[in-house]
Amino acid sequence: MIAPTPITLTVNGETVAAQVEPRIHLTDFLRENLGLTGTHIGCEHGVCGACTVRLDGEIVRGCLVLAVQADGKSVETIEGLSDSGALDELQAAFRDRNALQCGYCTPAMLLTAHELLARNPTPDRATIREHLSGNYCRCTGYQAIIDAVEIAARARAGAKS
Amino acid sequence: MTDAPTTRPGLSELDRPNSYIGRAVPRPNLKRLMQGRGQYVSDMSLPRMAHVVFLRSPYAHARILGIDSAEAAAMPGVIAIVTGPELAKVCTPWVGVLSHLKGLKSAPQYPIAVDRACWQGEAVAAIVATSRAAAEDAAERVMVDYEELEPVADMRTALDAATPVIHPELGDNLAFERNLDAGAVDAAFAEADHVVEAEFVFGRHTGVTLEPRSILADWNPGDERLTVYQGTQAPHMMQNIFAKHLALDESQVRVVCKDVGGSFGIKVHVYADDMATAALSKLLRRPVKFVADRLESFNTDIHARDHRCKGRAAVKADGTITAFEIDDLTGIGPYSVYPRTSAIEANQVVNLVGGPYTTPNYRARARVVFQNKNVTCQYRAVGHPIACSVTEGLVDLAAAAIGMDPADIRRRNLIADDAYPCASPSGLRFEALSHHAALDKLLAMMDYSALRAEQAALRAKGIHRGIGLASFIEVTNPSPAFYGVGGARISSQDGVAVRMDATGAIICQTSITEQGQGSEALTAQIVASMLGVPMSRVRVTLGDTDNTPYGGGTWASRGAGIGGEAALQAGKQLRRNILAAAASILQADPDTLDIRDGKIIDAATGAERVPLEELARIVYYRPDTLPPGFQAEMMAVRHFVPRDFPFAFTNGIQASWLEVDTETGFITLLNHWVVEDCGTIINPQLVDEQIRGGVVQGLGAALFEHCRYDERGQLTNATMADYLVPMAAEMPDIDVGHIVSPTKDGELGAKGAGEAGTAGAAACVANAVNDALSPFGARITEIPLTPELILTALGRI
Amino acid sequence: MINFQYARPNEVADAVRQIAADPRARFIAGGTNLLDLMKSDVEQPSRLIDISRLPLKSVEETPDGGLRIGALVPNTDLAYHPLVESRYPLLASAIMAGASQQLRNMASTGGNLMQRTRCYYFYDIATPCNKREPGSGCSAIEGLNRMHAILGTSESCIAVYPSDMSIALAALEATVRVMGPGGERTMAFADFHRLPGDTPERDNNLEPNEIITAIELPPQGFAKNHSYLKIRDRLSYAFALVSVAAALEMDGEAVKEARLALGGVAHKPWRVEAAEAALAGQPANEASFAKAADIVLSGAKGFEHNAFKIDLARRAIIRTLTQAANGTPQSQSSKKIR
Repeated sequence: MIAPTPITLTVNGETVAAQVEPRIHLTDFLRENLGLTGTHIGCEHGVCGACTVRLDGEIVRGCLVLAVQADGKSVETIEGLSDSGALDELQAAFRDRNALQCGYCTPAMLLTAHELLARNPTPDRATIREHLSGNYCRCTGYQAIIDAVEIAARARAGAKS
Repeated sequence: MTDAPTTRPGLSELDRPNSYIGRAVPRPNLKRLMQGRGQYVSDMSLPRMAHVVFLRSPYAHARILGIDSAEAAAMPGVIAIVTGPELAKVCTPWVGVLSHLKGLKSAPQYPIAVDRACWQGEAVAAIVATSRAAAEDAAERVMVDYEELEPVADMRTALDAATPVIHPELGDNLAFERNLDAGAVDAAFAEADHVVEAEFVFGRHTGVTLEPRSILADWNPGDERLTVYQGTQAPHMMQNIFAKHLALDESQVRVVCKDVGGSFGIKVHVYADDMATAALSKLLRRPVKFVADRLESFNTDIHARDHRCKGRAAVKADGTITAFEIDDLTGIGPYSVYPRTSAIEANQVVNLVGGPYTTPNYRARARVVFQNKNVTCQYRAVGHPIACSVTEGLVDLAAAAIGMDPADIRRRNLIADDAYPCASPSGLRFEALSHHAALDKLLAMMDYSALRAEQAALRAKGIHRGIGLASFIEVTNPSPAFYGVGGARISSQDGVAVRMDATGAIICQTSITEQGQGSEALTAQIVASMLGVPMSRVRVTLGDTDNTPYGGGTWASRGAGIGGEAALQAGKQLRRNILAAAASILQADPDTLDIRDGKIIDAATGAERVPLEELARIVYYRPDTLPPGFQAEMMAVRHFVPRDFPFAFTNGIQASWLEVDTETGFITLLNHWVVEDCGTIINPQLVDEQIRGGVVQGLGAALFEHCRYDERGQLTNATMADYLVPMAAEMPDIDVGHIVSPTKDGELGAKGAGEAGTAGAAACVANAVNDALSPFGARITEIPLTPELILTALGRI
Repeated sequence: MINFQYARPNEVADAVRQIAADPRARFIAGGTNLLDLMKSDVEQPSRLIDISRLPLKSVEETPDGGLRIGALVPNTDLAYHPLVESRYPLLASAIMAGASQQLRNMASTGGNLMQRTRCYYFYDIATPCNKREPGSGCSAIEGLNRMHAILGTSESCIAVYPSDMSIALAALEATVRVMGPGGERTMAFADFHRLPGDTPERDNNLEPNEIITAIELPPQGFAKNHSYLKIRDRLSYAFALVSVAAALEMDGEAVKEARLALGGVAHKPWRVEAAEAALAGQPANEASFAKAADIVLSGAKGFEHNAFKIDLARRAIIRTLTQAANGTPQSQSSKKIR
């Protein structure tokens, strides 16, 4: 029998203490222990990107991080980033451009786009496509998503000038 | 028929201040999805919920000699371990046949294999536990004793005498055969100036919905009701099937479908896992949840395509194509899928080949065979990509044979835009299509002649680019001719109920479902337009058999055309009812009143008479003030099914511009264009995104997607890292244009748009690759177009 | 996934002690490959020793003008590191050719060297595989072997090593620093990975109780003339059918020094020094490059589904050397191979 391991981490700014089996991955922990079901599971093999969360500020595959590995770290999910307003321009652009259909990939897509714009505020389309190329979308064909990220980048640039 | 609409055509009732029809209004349900606050079945949990994990056969074909679950059953958290024979006592088997597909046969299929597993991935035992992890741990301790049997892996030899028959009681491995002979085919070939032929090969594909199949079944013995939360496209169909096979009345079953993470036809079928989960809930008297993992998705979500189709065409020197002939073979796995059957795709291929053209002579044979692989069934654009690739591939071969430009040969042979109504040699009836207008518009959008000049200039520099065209027709708005006539309890009509509540809010319930296409948005758009209220006032409920009218759901590009028409008629009726009540209150002639922006107005002057919230207050709280004998009816229900045509065909044409690296075989997609005609466009943005999403699924088929089985019937690439679907980096931007030929089968005029993109994308990419390779005399009629196929065709490996 | 113990040492020496104490333990850093393998039950460790917080995350210049890269430097940080971008752009390019942003953020430099093969049969525990279960047989030799090796194969195994980064490291003649119970040692990059031979279960020459601490690059970075070309089925996140890392030092129109390594074709990064020697002093033209390619691929052997890789590799080598000689390295975001 493997004893659960105590962990303490910050999730969307709140301190969370829990006992977890070492094998539980971060996405399962967020979804099942904390009810943060906005982080989705598509493949559990690190390919589809639907489980993307921010770990200490960088996007990672939640399905390839053990919850115990997040001990002492800061995790941000779609719920927290939506409430903080960090994704406002992106969400507005996704809505206006209908850059989502079933919406299952969307939280992760938003987090990935958000990281790109933090790194490169004015990416061209090829750069956006490359950066988002770790996130599957089976519905849109991607073009609307690329458009929306471009629009959001312009909105952010406009808001700053 | 009109050119690209800036406003919607025709219908005067829609030209109103609150007309949302034809406008790109945002979907009302996006916010929750973008905030991670959607509710997919995989997100749900219920008190006392158990989780089921299925132990699956590692063999393509094996007899189950024994299952030892004693050790596993004693593990912590394990509730039950159930085998096929045990579950068969709770759930009756099914056979996936339809009476109008003459001769189609299949064997009874059980929720869990009873004595024999017939494909790698078929469930052989269910492990139910308090958590999924506990169930998975226990599954590893269930010992199954198998006797491996010879698998039928290759569809080409499935009918050979030496090949084992998978279901001996059926006599052979032939599930279905259809033959068609129209016109004078032999004479046409005899009189042809050229005959072109090729064998077209299509890989097996699967849908890869990002949310795997998910179901949560809750049998409540107190209520004696089964509530099933399921990501499905057809809740009422599932209601019927759960009831039928679990010995319940339909009224004892409620199917609830909230957010669905992608479907594309994958989630419209009856899966053994779903039946087993519902049966287990009934057996164990508690909620049971199943969510497929990705390996299970690849091994058990329906597959599609997997055709080998020989085709021939007869062409005259002037470019007239006088005959098509095909011989199609497809392998469907060990069972025909219930209840829509696995013969529909081949049947569609027979129906659709040659569809855009005037060619009068057509012969076809399609054979559908059993094999020990995962089952195939209807996936987005059923049969269309195959029919389109065969037809358009043959048209390009014919053009090459007589030295004619691919655009010109299409112009010569496409059915004239003023020839409707008319019918195809296979018996399809066309109401009004616009092939020539679409072709002209496409060539203008892509600047065809400039592109040809650029191609020639680059070719001189050793850069090999190609242009590919593909005309297509698409089956949409199916009437009962699709399934109902074959005896399936699959509704082809849909219903919409609209009511005005006491605050003037509009509540709308529709039987079509939402998987991201925009069903909720288009219903709200139509209802708001009909009523004359802001869209923000309309709330739409769907996906709940207890709380919506009875109907078909969303599949076969039917939601907008059928559910939209029902919404239109329901909205119109409620409008009449509201105006009657207003007239009664205002002592006015209802014909002098109108509704605009949520207010009753004087139709002639636009002067406000009474806001809807005040009207609602009077109707609901002070009906005593209404004239005696007047009863306000603030709810209207309407149903619709197309009656004039069995299907509302749409049409269109696609073009691809790509570059082939002739040294590495690597293809770069540069541009893609689509012109389509889905009739009235309710929301241009939604239509365009349906087209784009569909195109990209077709591009995946053209370039990457392939379920690769080895000769033992083992699927070797059942991961997302190995079964490649399109991602952002390699996909092109896609320009979409429209021609509008509304259907007169209904007032709305809308036809479907969900599958047009997938129908033609692979065909035009293949044609573009062959165009690029034409200086080398190379031709490829197989997809996916892998680097080694290209290099082999070039003679470079 | 099976359950396992979890430990998180704070010092390298402690990590080494812990791994030595439990032969079924595994180190975990980024986890991007190991956790995937564990989910498929290919790896079933008794204990995971989390080394991700060990102080091995710095990138430093070495006294001789080279670069020392801590084994836990994430791929993203390495690819975007100013010294790597300016002096070892071949390495940056190879890293960006692999995986996805999220994986590169997690994946470590040392872990990249430890990546295991993507052979389908290795992943499918229901099938025989000598690498996973020594002596059980190789399903790939007679099975679907499209992605498999054409060089250095054995009768036991035809798997390929899937890394992109390591192909550049091989071309750059990196060295690997490892720490074991007896102290630290270094290995030439060429000696780190192994050919399958009759022990395909061993991917590399790291001892079970050793940990990679750093990768060192020599001063010569070939920043001017280099290219990493990855031929794959899909531009986004796919493993290489063939990849080529080429680095040249030019002397006018002639090649002064050449480095050439191939990925996706063997059980290790494939580098043939004779081919590099054959390029030295030769004019930078297709004939020279073709000759080098022929030397690299001499002895290449295809199987039923992957024979195309031999010609593909030959052309990819010529293309990559041409790109390197012209100073026009392959872009990892552009869709066109030029």
